[in-house]
Parts: sequence; structure tokens; C-alpha cells
Amino acid sequence: MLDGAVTEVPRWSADQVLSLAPDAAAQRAARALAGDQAWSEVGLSVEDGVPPTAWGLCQGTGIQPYQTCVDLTEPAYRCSCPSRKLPCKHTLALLLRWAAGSVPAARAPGWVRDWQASRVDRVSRAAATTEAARTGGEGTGRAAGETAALRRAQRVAAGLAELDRWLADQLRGGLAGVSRLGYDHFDVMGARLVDAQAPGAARLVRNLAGYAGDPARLLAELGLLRLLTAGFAGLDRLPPALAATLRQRAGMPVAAEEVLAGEPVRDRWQILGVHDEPENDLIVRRVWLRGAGSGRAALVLSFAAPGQVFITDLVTGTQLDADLCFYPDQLRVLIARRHAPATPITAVAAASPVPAALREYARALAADPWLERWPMVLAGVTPARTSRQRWCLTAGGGDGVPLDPAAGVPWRLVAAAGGRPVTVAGDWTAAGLRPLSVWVRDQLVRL
Amino acid sequence: MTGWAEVMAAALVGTARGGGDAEALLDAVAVHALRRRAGVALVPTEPPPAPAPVDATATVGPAAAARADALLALDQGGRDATPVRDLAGRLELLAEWLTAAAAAGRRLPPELVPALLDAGRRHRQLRPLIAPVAGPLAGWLAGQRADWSYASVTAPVEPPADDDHEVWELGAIGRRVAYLRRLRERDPARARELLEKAWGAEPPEHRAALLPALRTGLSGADEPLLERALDDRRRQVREAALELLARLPGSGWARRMAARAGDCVRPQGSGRIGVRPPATCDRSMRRDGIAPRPPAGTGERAWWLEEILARTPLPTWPAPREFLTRGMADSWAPTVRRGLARAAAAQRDPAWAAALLAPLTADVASRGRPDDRLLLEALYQALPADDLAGAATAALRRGLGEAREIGVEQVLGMCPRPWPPAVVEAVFAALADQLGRPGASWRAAGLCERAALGFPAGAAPRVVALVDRLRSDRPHDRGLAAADRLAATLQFRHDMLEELTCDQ
Repeated sequence: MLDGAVTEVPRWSADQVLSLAPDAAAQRAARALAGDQAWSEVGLSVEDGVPPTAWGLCQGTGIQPYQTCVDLTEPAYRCSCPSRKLPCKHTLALLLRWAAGSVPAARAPGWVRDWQASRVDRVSRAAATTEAARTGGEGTGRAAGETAALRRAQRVAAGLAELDRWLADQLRGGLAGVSRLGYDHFDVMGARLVDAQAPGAARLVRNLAGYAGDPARLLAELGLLRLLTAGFAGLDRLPPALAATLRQRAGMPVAAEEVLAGEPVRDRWQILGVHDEPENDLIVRRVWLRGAGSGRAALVLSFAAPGQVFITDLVTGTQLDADLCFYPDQLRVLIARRHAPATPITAVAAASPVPAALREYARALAADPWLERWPMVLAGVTPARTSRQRWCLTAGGGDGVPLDPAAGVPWRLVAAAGGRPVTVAGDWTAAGLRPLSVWVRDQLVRL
Repeated sequence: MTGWAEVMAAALVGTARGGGDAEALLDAVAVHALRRRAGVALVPTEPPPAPAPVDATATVGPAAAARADALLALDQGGRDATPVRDLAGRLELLAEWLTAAAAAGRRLPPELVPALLDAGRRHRQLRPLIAPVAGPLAGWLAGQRADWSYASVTAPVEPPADDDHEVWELGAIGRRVAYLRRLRERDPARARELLEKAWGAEPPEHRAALLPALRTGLSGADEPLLERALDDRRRQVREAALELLARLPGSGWARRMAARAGDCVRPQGSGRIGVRPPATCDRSMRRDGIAPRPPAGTGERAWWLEEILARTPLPTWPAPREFLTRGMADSWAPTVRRGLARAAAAQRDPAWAAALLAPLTADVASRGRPDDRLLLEALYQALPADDLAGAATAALRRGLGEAREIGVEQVLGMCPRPWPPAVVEAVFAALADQLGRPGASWRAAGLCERAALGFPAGAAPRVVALVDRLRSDRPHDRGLAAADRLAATLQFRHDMLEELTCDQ
């Protein structure tokens, strides 16, 4: 059975393994356990249709050895020990053994197969739960009946109609007055939109308070909100794709099952940058991807409460052969299936010169006017000061793409580039580009 | 409504006052806003700086780079970044990384150089370590930010030598001091003559600034001028003269002190030592620098005795061990020891320092002035590194209780790092002994902290094995927390050096 057809899984380094450890004590415990004595049976199973999984039996203090297994693609793990630290020392020790090359290929025993089967269900359920928590929706997806969905659509429509009147009121009174009103003015409208189950619109309204000192930006945002309200009022007349994007932007929930039911897109997805940002009471992690073959942009969103750790192997500078399923906005994705563990990027695929990159962004904006962030990959640019002592990326010619001043002075980028043209990937917003990674020394370096 | 400017103006005023339809205005805003956002406006730039010099030296591997990144986050004592909690410890780890990387002939990845320059800006002791690991990039970056100019290759070093005699006659005082100092290096006698000739005519603040220049090439020939300066009206001049006289063995000043000391402390035929402190602090004593007023809590006569002894050349006395073992009136003995200790520290006399350590430690423990700890520390500094290590080792062998009494943590702190094998063995034995007893391990906490940075990284496996064994016996003992940190830090340092030397 186990012949030459076995897929070779690239081994991790010991440091990669130890970086998963919750603390230094766990690292040391794992090192101590990685020797031979404790393990009675270990193996690595690679079969069609099942992710490569390392497993082993580790003798602890009890009579029964602990059953430990790790899906190497995510990585996801399970251990029968009672430790509350995740991953536990047995998991880490098993991975260390694998990193050291002392886990032979073998057929998975029953308990490993059971775990693999149960995981497929759990992954999609977990995604749905997180999503529900974020959008504040109650029974989403299939659990909620069609009537509930209809009722919700009506409430959102009513909320957005009220927002539309509120927008017109702002322009009646004049922005000169609005910018003096402070946070409360926007929070009241935001709260009403939350009640109307339109959290996406609510967030946009609350963000307006931050532009009180910048009337041009404030006005632009009001205009884009008008596009949202007007679009929602005429939803039936819009092309289906745009209508779906609009619903998503307003904050109507999209069930993970629904997303996963869509057509998967397989590519080698290059991870160009990771950016964490607080939003309300959560930390939002944005992982930007681009397909090596298609150049297509994708966004993996995840959420964690402050103090909670993101467990993810989506590391800047690596690429992942995987099936992605897109949300209606054609940007956010769920990872439906991984075909192989991540490998280092050997060349940035989607990099383009400044004019082409800006045209690409304009096209994306045409398809989704509410697009707030876009993964821009600029080739052949050098960091330079603007004439107003801010920073930009120039390809020569005396002008450049502005960098977001809120991201601070990009010293890491300046030093990495050393005054020479480089390829830079970043998060584009209305305030400018936030550089996330740069291609130097034949690798994509996180900034 | 044709352009953004008009839309903007109308929106600022508001349709209620400015007229027009708010809904129509909103639609116009929407169209313009989207158009403006899609047409990204480029910004005018300044010409970028010339590229950094090409650096062919290889950078460290990814694991080492990631660790340097964590170490450079000095001020964010992140829970995961390093096992060491205090800033001083993290700085030492960073310095160890930089030194090891330089020894391996590898560079810090360029994107981390700005963080290193920032660290060097705030912590001067890192600056000499920057150039070898940052390469020419450091100088290139320094040219772009004033804060980093200390790393600039064109930073002003020393002003060019200024040997024109006119400087002495007409220059500003700073340049005259520099001139005098350089002349002392070449021709001390000529420099002294210049100063002697000018002395009477110099204003007092210039006399105070010029006199310390004699420190270069100081000799007995300078004594007359120094004696003259002892009678100066300005206190700073007198202090400068006293400092120089103290460096001049066999001077009249030293002989006067020895004579005073001989009057007060006198070995007697019986083998005992008679002590009779001075009855007054006369003019000549004050002229020679004896402070007439004692600190609070010290008697006048004891203080004057201590002041005299502190300035008396130690060769005045018999050999230290012999002198100290002889009997002495109990009421004066601590004063004599303190005076001798100050002399040993000031004259950096290892034999006296070693002999005085134990009795002085006992004095400090029983009673003492607030500055006694500093005196003890100064004594340790007078010991050569080997003796320091020896003192620590011997104390530890006698038990941690006693070792703490002599402030063993402080002594260990002064030992050169990594510690010599004898110290490592003694500390390891003390730790194994202390940590092995539940409840007593708090005594070992300070030792653990020192050992985390003092042990050579190669000791990691042994220490980790010890701590792991203790942990498996007492998994919930909070007294082992310091030991956990010690093991983690050593493991960290061990891995840090390993990845710098191994990975490609």
C-alpha cells in the first residue's frame, strides 16, 4: 500500500514546531518527551482524500498511553491527555519527532481515522459559529427558516431606509456643523442599525466619527453610504453578483455552509501579508492572499478576543495549494481544502507596476464600491519621502503611491529596500498603502 | 453640480441654507466620491536617497533573524518574546546575540537594522556592537534620521589636533585644556612650566579647569604646584589638587597622612594595636582634605580617624593579615577597618581588599551606615577577577546562608561572563542543594536570576535536566518559578547561539 505514490510532506524545522507552544515550559516538556522512551507506536499516514496525519501513543503517568494525532496541513491536533494547554506537550513532542525525521510512514489505526472523519464536520460548524458571533445574528444558515430570513431582510431594509433619511439630513444641516458633533451623533445612528440587524452598515456609520476633522473624507463616506442605501432599495434591479455583495456589506449574514457550497477555486495561494487590528471588542486578523496562477485576490478573516491566540499556519511568505470558496464580495474566502502543506514562495506572482496595479484596484472598486481594503502588490518601487515629509513608494518620475501615515514611518521597508527598487505587498485603503511585506533576498519578508 | 469642489462647498453649507435638494446632492456626492477613490492621486516626491552600499556579507538564517526580531522589541516585555523580564537582562541577551553574530561573521537582516539603531539610541552600551552586524547599512540609515546620527560613518570623531602655541595664549579655555593635555603627553615638564607661569594670573575657574590636565604624566616634579594649589581660595582647585596628590606615592601629602595615622594607630609591644583618635581637626588636616564634619550618627573623633586612615598609603602598615588579626580596642576596631577599607578601595589594593572583606561584611551585617554597602562593593571591585570568582566560590561552598551574607549575588554580578568553571560548579551545587528542598528555594531565587545570564549557554542541558527532574517531583511548587525561568533563559541562550552557528 505504502509505495512510491506517497506524497512527500515537507518537514518542519524544530523551531517551527516550538513556535506553536503556548509557553516556554511546554517547549521544554516537549523536548524532553521527544525522545524514544515514551513512545510505543508512531506513524505518518498519507492516503488519498485524507490530509497527511502524524500519530502516536505516548506513555504518560496513567495506565493507558495517550493517543496523539496531528493533521499536518493545518496543523490541527488532538490528544487524549487531560492537559489544558493547547497544543499539549505530547502534540509538540510528536511534531518534534516528525521534524527530526523519526516518524515512519504507516497506515493509520482506527482511532486516527475516526478523528479525521469527525473533523470535516467540525470545521464547517466552527466557522459558522464564529461568523454568527461576529454579525450578532441568531440562528443563521439552515437552522433559520425562510420566514426568519424574510423578516430579517425587511428589518434591514427599514434600517437602511432610515439611514438614507439620516444621510440627507446631514447634508441639509451642512457638514460644517456635523464635524462638531462628536462620537454620540454617529453612535446613535449606528446603534439603530445594529437593532435593524445591519451590523455592516452600523460599523461604517460609527467609523464616520473618526473623519470629523476631515470633511472631504467624511463627505466621501456619506456618499458611499448613499450608494448602499439606494442600492438596497433597488436590490431587485441589480445584477445578482452586485446584489449579493451589497447584502454582505450591509451586514446580512452569509452562512459558512453557503460559502462552502460554492465553486471552489484551486490555486497556489501566496500569503502576502497578515494584519491584526482591534475592532469593537475583538481583534480582527486579515490574511491577504493572491493566487500564483490566477493572480486573484483573496482575504481570510479571523477573529479573536483580546488575549486569545490566533492559531493559524497562514504565514507571510508561504504559499498554499488549496481550494478556496469565495463569499459574495469575491474577496473574502474560506479554505475548503488544503492539498498540501504550505511551502515558501519562490516568486511573487501578482506584482505589477504602479499604473497597472492602480487600474486593477479601480476595477475591483467598480465591482464593489464599498471595498475598504485591497491587497496591492507593487513591483519596482522605492520608498521615498514626499514633498510634505510623508512617505510614498515611487517608481521614479517625481511622484509615488502614498503610504498610510497611520502605519508610522516605514523604516523596516526603507532599510530592506536600501534605496533600490523592490516589490512591496500591502493593504490599500483610502488613506494610503500599509506595507505588509517586501521581496528581498529571494524571499518575502514580513514588515 | 459639476465638480467635487462645488459638491463639497454645497455639502459644507447644507441645502437648508444654501438651497438645492439634499437627495440630489447625496447622489452627486456618491458619484464623485467613487470616482475620486478609483482615480488614486499620486503624490509628489523628493528624490530618493542614493542606494545603500552593496553588502556582500551573508545575513543570519531565518531562525536567528526571528529571534533577533523578538530581542529587539526591548520595551515590549512581551510574555513570549524572551524569558527574561527586566530590561537590563533583555539588553544582555541582545548584546550576546550581537556579539555571537559578529563572531560568526553574519549580518542582521536589513529590515531589523532600524530597530537596532533605535535600541542603540537609548542604550549606549549597544553602540559598539552595531557596526559589525549592521554593516554599511547602518551608516546609510543614519544619514536619514537625526536620531541615528551616532551611527553615521562621518560622525565627528576628535577635532583635529591643535598644537599651535597661540591656542595656549589666546584660545578659549576648552581648547587650552586640550592643548595642555597633549603637551603633557609629549613634554610634561614644559607643560608644567607653562601652567606655573600662568598660574597667578589665571582666573579661579580656569585654574580649576587646567589643573586636572596634569593627571597625564603626573610625577613628583608636579608636587610644588599641587601644594600651592592646596592653598587656593577656590574649593574646586583644592579638590583637584588633592585628587592628584592622592595618586602620587611618596608625596609630602602622603607622608603627612602617614605621620598622622602613625600617631593614632600604633602597634604595641604586647602584640595589640593601640588606637588613639585625633583630639581635634586642625588647620593642616583640613588643608590636606580631611572633612571636619562627621556624617550623622558618627562621632567626630572616629570620623577624623577614618578620614586619616582612608588617605594613608597602605604600605605604611604591616602585612594585612597580620595587622588585622592583632587585638585592638573593640570600640575603635570598626572605625579602623572602615578607614582601611576605604584606603584599599581607593588605592585598588587587592591584598588589603581580600583581607578586609570578611570582617567588614560582618561589621556591615551587625551595624552600618547606609553607604557601607557601597564600600563593600568598592572593595570587591578592587579584587582581580580570579579572586572575585574565588570569593564567590568559597562562600557558596560554605552554604548559601553565609553566601547571602556577603552579598554573593552582587559578587557574582561583578564576575566576568560567562563565569569560570569553578564558579559555575559552585553555583550549580548550591542551586541543586537549595532547589532540592521544598520551601527553602526562595533563597535560591536571586542566584537563579544571576545564573541565567552568568552561566555559559553550554550549561543549558544540565540545568534543564535538573529543573525538569525537580518539576516532575513537584509539579505545582511555586517556589520553583525562578528555577523555571533560569532553565528557560539558558535554553533560550543555548538555542540562540546554536542557530547562529549552525543554520545556513
